Amino acid sequence: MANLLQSRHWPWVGYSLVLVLLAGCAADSPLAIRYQAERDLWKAGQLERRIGSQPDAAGQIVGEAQSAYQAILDKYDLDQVESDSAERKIVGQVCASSALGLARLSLVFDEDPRSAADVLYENRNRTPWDLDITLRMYNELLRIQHEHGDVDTLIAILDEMIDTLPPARSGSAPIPLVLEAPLRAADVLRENGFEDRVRSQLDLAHVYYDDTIEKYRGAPVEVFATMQKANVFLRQGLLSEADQTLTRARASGAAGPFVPAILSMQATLRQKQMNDYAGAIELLQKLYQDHPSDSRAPGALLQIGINETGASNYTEAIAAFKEVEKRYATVPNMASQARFLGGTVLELRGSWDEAEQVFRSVTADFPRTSSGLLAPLQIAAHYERAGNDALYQSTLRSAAEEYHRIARDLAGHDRSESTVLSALDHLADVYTRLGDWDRAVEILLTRAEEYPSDRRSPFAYVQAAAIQEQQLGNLDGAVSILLRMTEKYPNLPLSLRAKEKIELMRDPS
Amino acid sequence: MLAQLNLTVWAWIESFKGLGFGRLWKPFLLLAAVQVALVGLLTQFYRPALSWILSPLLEKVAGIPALHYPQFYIVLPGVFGRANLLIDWLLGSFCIGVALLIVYSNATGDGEEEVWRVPAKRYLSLLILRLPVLLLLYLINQFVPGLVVGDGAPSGMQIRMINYGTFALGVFVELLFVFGPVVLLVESKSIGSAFLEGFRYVFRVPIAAVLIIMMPNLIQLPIHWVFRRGDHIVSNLAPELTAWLVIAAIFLYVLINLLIVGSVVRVYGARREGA
Repeated sequence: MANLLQSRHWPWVGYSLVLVLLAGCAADSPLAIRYQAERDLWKAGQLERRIGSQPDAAGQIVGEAQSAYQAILDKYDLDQVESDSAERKIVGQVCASSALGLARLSLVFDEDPRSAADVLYENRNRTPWDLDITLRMYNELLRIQHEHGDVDTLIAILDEMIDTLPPARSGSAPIPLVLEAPLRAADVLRENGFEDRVRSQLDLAHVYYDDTIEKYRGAPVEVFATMQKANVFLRQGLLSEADQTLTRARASGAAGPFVPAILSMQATLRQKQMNDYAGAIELLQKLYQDHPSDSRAPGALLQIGINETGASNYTEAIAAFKEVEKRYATVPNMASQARFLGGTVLELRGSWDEAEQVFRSVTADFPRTSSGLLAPLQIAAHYERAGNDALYQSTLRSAAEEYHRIARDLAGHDRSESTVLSALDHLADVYTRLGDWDRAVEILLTRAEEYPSDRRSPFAYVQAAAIQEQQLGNLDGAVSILLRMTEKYPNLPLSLRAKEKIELMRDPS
Repeated sequence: MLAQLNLTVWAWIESFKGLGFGRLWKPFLLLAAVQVALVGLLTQFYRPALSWILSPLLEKVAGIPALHYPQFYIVLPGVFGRANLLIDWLLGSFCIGVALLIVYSNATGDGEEEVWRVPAKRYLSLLILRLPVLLLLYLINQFVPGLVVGDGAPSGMQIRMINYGTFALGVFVELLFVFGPVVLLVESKSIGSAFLEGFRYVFRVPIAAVLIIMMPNLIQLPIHWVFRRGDHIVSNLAPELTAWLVIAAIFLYVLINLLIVGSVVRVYGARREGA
């Protein structure tokens, strides 16, 4: 041992070992590529996470994070990794996550949806063997194109998905993003006024769904595709064909987990589009009785009452609503809605005194629910119809006081934001009905300014501008409000229309 | 008892004074250098030159997540701890032997020519003497958690019981065998005699033995506390910081070993003279 320790050959052994190690460390293996890719993605993600915590340096960090994500996309070529290895799948996921991160940064911080979409478009098929990644990329791409892109690009992407992606996973589980693509394309065309193209798109959708049903007979995909086919019939206005198709979907051997959704969909079709209340009630009862633990079951019981009301079976309707209130006494939204609907049935039946009592009890017992907030307006509407202006006005004023109190008491509580927004919306409505235009504008602007991320806030600006223009004759005020809206939401279609309106108001000729 | 306390305090004071003696650091710095190299190699496990051997070992010891970034850094302290048992045995036994003789020769004024040669000559005996300590430490770390928790997730109280229990048992095992190597090297005894004489010294000065092993080892507790929060370090700071913390811990252990070796030799020397 002592001789060994003093051997003069030790340094050479050491140098050789270091050389071998250095040579080995310089080479890349699938494991090394994958590990370094994970590390690079982590570092880029850390930079992105720092943006929120260091707002002062956010601009610089955004740039660094974008460079880090871009470097991953440039550095890692999936062909470097063996085609069947698990490492390749992970490197693919890293690249997809980098593309998604880059797109996210472009969208959120640079407000550049085109760059975001370009990144995703370039990388969408980088890992065709990994369906989950590909779907994530397409999903994000569709979202960006839907909000910021043009119709033809969106349709092209949907067509590409239909042509290249399977409607089911290897275990036959349906892929909703792909299966809904043909219908989504038709909806996009309709939203943008291309009615002639809608018809041919719906015909193509039928062909796609028929092929899928045939190919996946007996599998869950067959049921999902059949439901989509019913939706195509609905878009075509062929209601009984849609109804029959849904019945066929329910009868499929693989329908099991889809049955509650089909029953609910079919009941809605019969109720809202076919006015077949008895048919709808039959399906809803089936849903409630056969699938009591399904999340749609409570709604089904409520819908039974609504359908009985539609069929003018008031006694049965009231009984159904009482049943809901009894069964879901501890669920305020459900119980309050049932009681409120019971009140509307009493009103329809002509028992106003009883109905008013019920509406007042809804507000008293469930003051912060949608129904509790709506009930005073229901009472006011009755007095308006009855021509009792004094009671109409006093009901509205006391409702306004209540809405003010709720908005004031709950302001700043994240969990109560929707209640505050509803209260402010009702408050603006009350002041509009009372003709108190200044206050209506004030409330609408408060709502829009304090809750800019709420999807209805841009409309609040438009409403406030309309009151300024039409009721108060203040064109400058209206223009100023619309300008504020276009600055805050430059990419909304509503802002484009607002700009046209501004031009019109500035130059009426 | 008072005599043992006096002896311990004197040994600590002398050991602290001895820290300024450069040659004493050499064996432990050699051990630390190998340990730091091991940390460096572990952090490069994914390189082709190392992955053929390290990645299957890592997978076996810490599971597949250990092969991914940044999860690797969460398990690094544990993996290093296990690999270090081997280094501690193969190299630590020798380095401790050298350090014991350096302190002894320094204290007695004997010549220092033999301090590397004698432990090298008796390397195999040192390995055999050290083996039961490491085996028992391994078994304690392996089985104590199972004894406390059984199946299912441990509660906060159970985690504390495991930590303090393994620490106390570890100290007990270390102190049982602490005088063996010094007897083996200084008195040139056989392995069996070194074991027996070593135990005899422990029973002659039990309080001093407990104190000289336990007090420096208390530094371990905050180190373990930090490593138990590896996931926080990885997600909130930087994963690589874990490797630097392991290296910092290695140098803290150099200090712990220096103090223990210094105190052990002085207590042994005092009792030998007394005998």
